[in-house]
Amino acid sequence: MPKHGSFISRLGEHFKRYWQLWLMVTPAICFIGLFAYVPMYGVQLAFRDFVPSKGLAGGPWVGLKYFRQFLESPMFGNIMKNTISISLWTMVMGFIAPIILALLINQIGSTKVKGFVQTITYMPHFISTVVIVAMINIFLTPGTGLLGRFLGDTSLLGNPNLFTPIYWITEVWQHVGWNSIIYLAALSSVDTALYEAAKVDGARRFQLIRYVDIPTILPTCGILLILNMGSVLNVGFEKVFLMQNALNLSSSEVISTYTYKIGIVSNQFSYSTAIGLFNTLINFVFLVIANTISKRVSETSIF
Amino acid sequence: MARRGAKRRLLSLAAAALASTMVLAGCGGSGSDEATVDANGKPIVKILITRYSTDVAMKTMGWTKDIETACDCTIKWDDVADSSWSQQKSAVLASGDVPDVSIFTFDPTDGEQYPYFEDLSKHLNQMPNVKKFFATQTSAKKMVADKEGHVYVLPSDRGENYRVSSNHMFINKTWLDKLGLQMPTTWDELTKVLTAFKTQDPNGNGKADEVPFNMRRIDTTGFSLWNPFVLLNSMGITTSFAGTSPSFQGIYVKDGKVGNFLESDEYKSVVKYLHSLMEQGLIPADALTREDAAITADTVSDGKTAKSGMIVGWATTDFEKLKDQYVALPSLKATASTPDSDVTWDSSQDLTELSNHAIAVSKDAPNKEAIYKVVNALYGEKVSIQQYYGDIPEDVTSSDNSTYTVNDRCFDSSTKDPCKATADRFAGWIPDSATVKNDQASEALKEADSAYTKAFANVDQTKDVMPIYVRPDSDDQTTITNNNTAVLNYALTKTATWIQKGGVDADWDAYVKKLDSVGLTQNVKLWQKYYNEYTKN
Repeated sequence: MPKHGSFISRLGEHFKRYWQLWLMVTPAICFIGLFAYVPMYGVQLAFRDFVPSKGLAGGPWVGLKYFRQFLESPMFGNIMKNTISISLWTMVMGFIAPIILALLINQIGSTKVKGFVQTITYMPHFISTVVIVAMINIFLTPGTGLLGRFLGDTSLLGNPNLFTPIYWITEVWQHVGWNSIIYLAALSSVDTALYEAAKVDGARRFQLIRYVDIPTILPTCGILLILNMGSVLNVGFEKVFLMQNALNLSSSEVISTYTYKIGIVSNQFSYSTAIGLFNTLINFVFLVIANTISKRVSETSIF
Repeated sequence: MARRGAKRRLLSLAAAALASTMVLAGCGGSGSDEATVDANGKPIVKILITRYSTDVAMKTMGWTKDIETACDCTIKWDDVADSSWSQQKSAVLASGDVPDVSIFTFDPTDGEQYPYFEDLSKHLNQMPNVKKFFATQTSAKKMVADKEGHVYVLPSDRGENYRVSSNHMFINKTWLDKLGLQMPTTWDELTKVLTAFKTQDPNGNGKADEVPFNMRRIDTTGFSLWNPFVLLNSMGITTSFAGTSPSFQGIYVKDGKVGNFLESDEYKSVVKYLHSLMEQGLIPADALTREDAAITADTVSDGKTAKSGMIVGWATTDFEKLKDQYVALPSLKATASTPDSDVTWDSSQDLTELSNHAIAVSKDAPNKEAIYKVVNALYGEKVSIQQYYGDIPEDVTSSDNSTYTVNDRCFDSSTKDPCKATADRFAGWIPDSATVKNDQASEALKEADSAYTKAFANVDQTKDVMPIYVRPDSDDQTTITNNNTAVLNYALTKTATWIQKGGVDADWDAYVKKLDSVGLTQNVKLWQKYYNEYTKN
């Protein structure tokens, strides 16, 4: 058999050699294909006037009408501003906090205390969003709430300027412990000889963290940052929606809640698909930017 | 040989993988091959009904047997909880897989927008009860028929017992008497009364725990039931806060002219008044962010010591054990100089009595003949009564042909043996000729409503209220909805801020301008167009 045969024969050779591997991934490929790629057929809804009786491909083609409608909507500026500010704050703080927590936990000597702190910090991750929002409400209730009693006679949830901070602080509180696990895993792989060597060279605690720990987890940070970037505009629907009230609406209407109001409540499938697609496009742009930066800076990238 | 064996294994594995994906893909398919006749050869009729999750199962209700006798068929009930239906509805409509018969599930707009439903107006002769209903209650038919006269969803009518407003103000009469105060008649007098409630410890427990005006928070989606803007009626804007009324987006009618109260001076006055109440601590400082649970807790209190001075609500039953302390507060005048003839009250009678989404039939349903018989039976007087109140004779006793007495047990929420009824989820018609006695729910409503008789006399049901049968077509409805999202988003935030912090005068002009630019004017024009169209004859 020639070494550089035609494409087909090379392919044949490839499958002959690796068919077991391909067979193993077949179910996964089928699964992804069916649940991630087949539904993408529905994206065309965004470019059509959807007529349910005619099926997905039935309505007349209207091109970018719905995108234009969204861009020209009086709500557009405000929604984008809210979405970006809420999601960027959440992403940045939600990215930094677990790293700091992991570095701190790593400094705890006793395994018992370490385990205890870890358990306590990751517990809130398992509380459902509805319960978390109810808890936030109760905490902030003026007069009787855990925090609300010190904060005047109106609830902080009624202040539009505080919506973003309340959102990201509670988000960080809920997930910081859980998200720090991956960094702790990375830290556990540090060769103890490095610590010994650094100590011999006269390094103190902070220098250990700076010159040993941080470089160790940097690649993990890079990858996680890129992955998070891809969903930067996907502000969780439930939490924002549950925290909304008439007073904070001006800073709490985000793309996902608007899509819900337009699409599900008012049955405008085409319009809401267009908004969703717009959201995805922006996410994609963010992802590419983050990946490029990360590639330049730390030579870590996902593509 | 080994190689061939491997090949065969590979093939069978591939087939298995393929089969499993097909199973996955098949999950969403509808089971259209199900039997349409039962073992005895009788047709099967499947009915989906959306329920309160706490109700008794449909098939245990005695009257369902009467319908089965009438249609000579077998009924399969599918009880769906409200909460899960609201998630399913859009998906069901998009897929076109609608149930054969559905109760309290779709509304006429769905019927016009989606071509899945049978035009029931063509089959009135097979449903004489429905025919009679439409002939007697003309606004019921107008409410569901489109311009060409198609009827895809039948309405239901719970009778004259419910020809009442959905909104009433209640004030604590015991407190008034104790403090030696008169019933307030103007906003100023109300302020004085509420101040006395706040400062003079009318519930006598030595604590300043009274909530003078236990106000509901403003929804982010519009003006829903029991909101404080019923005070607009003090200045002649007739509200109609219930169900599908456009009042929730601010639309009102006065002398045949449509307007939006969000940009009216009357609205400004109410906002100012509410702000003054909040400033003086007569409305809870966190009223705009409070959860419903907190409002209810203050309303029913502990069942002994009342906490609320005043609420906007449904009936005195809202107060549960404390209901004897409260009476309905008649519509107030804005100022002492307001002429009596200007004062109106929330006019939502038709919306309380009628519902426009009772029953729909799928175009492709099998056994249509049996279905029409079922529908006809449901709209019969006796079955309607039983659907609404409960089984005869266990829950309702029928003394002569058209007089019914409801058992006390039906109104006891703590009983372990509730009456077997669907209440307002019913598809039927209780005609005015039937007399229903001891309907405690409606008695409480009627008692509350009687306080507003004078105010109602100033309201012309067609010229001052958007009639329930005025409905924009689906294109305009889309425009209206899109505009509304922007209008309400801006207006409600502003309103909430004004009530909390004041400043309505300074912002007003810019606010009105902004509302017009985001579509409020266009919406008013559209509603005027449809109002004219539907009321011209």
